[in-house]
Amino acid sequence: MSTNNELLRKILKHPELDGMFEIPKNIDKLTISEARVSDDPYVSASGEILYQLSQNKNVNSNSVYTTVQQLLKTKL
Amino acid sequence: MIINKIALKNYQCYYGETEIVLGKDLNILLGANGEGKTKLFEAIMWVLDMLNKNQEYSVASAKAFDELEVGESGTTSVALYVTREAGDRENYTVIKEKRFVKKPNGGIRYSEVEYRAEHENLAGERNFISDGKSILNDLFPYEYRQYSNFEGEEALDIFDTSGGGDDSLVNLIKLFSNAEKNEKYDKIFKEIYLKAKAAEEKAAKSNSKNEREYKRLIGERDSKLRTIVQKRELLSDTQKELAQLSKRISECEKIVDNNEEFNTLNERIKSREEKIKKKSLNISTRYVDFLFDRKWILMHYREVLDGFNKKYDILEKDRRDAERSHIQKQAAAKALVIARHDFTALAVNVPDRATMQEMLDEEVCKVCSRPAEKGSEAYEFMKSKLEALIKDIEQTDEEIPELFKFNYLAELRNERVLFEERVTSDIDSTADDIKRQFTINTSTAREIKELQEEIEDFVAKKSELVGSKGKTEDTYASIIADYMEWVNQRSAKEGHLKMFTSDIENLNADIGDLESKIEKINASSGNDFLSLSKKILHALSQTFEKVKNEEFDKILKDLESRANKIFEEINVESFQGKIRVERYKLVSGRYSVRVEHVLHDGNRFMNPNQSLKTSVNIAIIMAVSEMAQSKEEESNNSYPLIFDAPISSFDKDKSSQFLNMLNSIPGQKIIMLKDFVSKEKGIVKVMDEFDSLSCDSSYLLSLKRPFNKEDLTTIETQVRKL
Amino acid sequence: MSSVFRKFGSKSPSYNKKYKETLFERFTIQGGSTEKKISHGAFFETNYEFLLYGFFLGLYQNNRLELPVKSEQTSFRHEIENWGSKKRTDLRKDFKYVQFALFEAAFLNTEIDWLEVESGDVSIDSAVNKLITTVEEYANAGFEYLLEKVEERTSTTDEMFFLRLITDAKK
Repeated sequence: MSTNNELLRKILKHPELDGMFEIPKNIDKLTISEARVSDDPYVSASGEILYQLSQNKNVNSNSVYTTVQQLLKTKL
Repeated sequence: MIINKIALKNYQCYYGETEIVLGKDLNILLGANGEGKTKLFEAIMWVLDMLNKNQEYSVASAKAFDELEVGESGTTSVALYVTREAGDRENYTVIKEKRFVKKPNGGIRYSEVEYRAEHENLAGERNFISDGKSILNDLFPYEYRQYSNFEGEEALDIFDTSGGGDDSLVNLIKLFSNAEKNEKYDKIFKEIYLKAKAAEEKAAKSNSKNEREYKRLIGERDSKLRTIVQKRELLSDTQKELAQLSKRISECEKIVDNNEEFNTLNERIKSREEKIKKKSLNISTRYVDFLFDRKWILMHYREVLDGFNKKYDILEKDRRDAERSHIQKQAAAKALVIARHDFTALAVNVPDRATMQEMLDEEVCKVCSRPAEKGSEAYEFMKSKLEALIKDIEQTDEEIPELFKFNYLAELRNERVLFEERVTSDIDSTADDIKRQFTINTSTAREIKELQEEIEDFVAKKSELVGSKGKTEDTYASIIADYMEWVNQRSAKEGHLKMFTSDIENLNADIGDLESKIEKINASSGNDFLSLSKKILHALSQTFEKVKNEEFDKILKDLESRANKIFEEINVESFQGKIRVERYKLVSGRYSVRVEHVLHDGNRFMNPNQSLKTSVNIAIIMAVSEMAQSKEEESNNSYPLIFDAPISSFDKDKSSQFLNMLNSIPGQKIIMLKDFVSKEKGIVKVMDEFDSLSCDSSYLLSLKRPFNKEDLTTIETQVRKL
Repeated sequence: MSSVFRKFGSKSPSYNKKYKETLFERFTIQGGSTEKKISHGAFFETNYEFLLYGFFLGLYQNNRLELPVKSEQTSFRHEIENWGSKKRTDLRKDFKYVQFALFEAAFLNTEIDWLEVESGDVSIDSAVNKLITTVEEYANAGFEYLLEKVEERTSTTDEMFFLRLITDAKK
């Protein structure tokens, strides 16, 4: 059973994302809060989304989207 | 959850109040066939709300109902006394109850079902809860309840998830994984991506040089997407209809096969009837006629024939003798006359007639040797003497008559020879002929009897075929007509399926083309940020979907390997194949789970025997139970496993392996067995081997004797603690 | 044909009147419906067959019984020379051989001085009459025995009954 941190790692390490970004060195211990502030857009976006999801049970995709977009604007 | 006690009241064959106290590990309930074992299982399923609609009726005890006066009412109830964990002081009682009343016409009327619960807290305070069902769900969640019982081998395959109907296994798996959560997340990931995509398209639309073209592309793509959704719905509906049709068709095919069988039976009956007709002609019991026609009446005639021949020969001989002596008499008489004549005419020296004739001829008397010339005295004397002699002879010469006037006997000679020729061989062969006729008669009669018995069997089979479907011979024709209709419909629908699927494929291909065109415009419209963020969110969404599926598959693999381990243990030392648990996509796009029994090369295990099928089901159930245990390890929670006669198809070794394995897995197990019980001359006994089994509690369920199997009010199961 | 046999054939034997109802009418079909009669246990097609049966029964058991006085006798007036001839369409076969069988059996068992007959001292008629008497007396004994056995029967439709009596006669 995966906690959200574990989910984060599974996503970032997944072969599907292979080559799209550089995997952080501390990936195996990476937490959501750390990911959120990463410079890499993939890492930070993943972190932000999971953070939003874990905060709110009835989370709304609009709000998540808005937040993520804002975040990405800063990274891209 | 642990069931500490089951209390039944007037539930079917459990008349009055019955209590069964259970332990936290293995509990065994023994009962011979038909003595109440399965009814107890049913009772537990009833209170756990697991029975199908049909089984919900007729729960009242016939005997209890019988005792009612008109207008009086009684109660049927099953109560489970449970705790969340073994040894808990806090306990719950879940009660399902139905009241029944005797109508004026003697019939029964049931009230609505009532589900109550009682709760005793740690302080010992009791309170009553009217919504028993929800307490039950809390104590024993539905998904686990589904997979906690095994209903004997005639039960349907609980893992049949084809036709997209039953998602129970999927739901159960979801319990073990984070599937619910992951599904939610997945949805969000997708939606975010779609929003990014929409934003990009919106921006590109207004920036686009070919605004109209872009709008058109987007419009077309969106409309195709909508069409796909519609087609997917149609596809899913068609799938459901197809499943229904297939079910009807296969039921029908049983009857159609029966129809062939039916026709075959008719043919067989007809040919046998013809054979009987032919053979009957061979039997002949016209014994009186045969007495004469076949000369059987001469069976003892040999003596007569021989006797007659003897007598006849004697008579003929006598006749010949008589005649011979008569001829002799005649001859003697004649000679006597001649002699007499010759003798009287002559003295010593007197010549006889011949000599006298001679003397006359020679004209000389030979007596005195003097000549006697013609005309002389001597000559005349000789002549007169000779004439007197002749006259004398002639006068005294009588005719002696024949002895026999008739030839009756001689006349018979030919006739009797012909007769003998005609009958002699028949007389001697009568005994054999009679025997032969009897043999023919008895063996033909036996052949006819066998043919008649065969006909009877076929007729019985015919009525079985017809009766078992509850149909008469006449409705066969209409069923066959329906069948043809359904087969046609099925082909049509299969065609539709193909069509929808290829439509969707084509639409997807078109959409693919459109998307790439749109992408091109997007890329050239200069909205790098939106493009990029869309790209990232797309990648993340795809990735998360894969992660979600992998998490799900992990659980399936866990279940599979646990199940296989148990499966192997049950079937040690026999060829059993493997269990495969996998996720597969339904046409609607949703995923479902299926359990398959396969060979080691992955191909389906064809035609497993019943005990293998049973052990597949049991292995899954137990694997689920294990996983439930380990999932709830924090709360140390587990759920009872309830089995009804699971090992009836197992041989002795397999049975004992199974029971040993049961002992080794944690959690409460309640198992009904018909093994270890013998029924001899109406007395039910527990076999000695049962003593070697260790369990928390055991009971023997047996019918109160004497009972009349035609009269339900005499059918009462008694429960005895062992 | 021999004159004796011809004369023999011209006769029609008599039987004790009392057997008319008790035996003859019970067991002979005599022109009723065959199936109906047989289902009632009448297996003999004709009277003379039945008389032949009685005769052989008596003959094989070596029993003969004098007929009662003429007033107690009756006859079915069917000359022996016609016995055993069947219509070609019947299920039955001709069994004329039985006439001579009757004759030979009678001949064997009748005290006649054939030499006297041959010699004319005894008339052929009286001899043949004696033969017929023999036939009648064996039949009579046979009927008496049969009547007894008929009463003992458990089944009226057992055609084997009659066969069995003949088979057992010489035990």
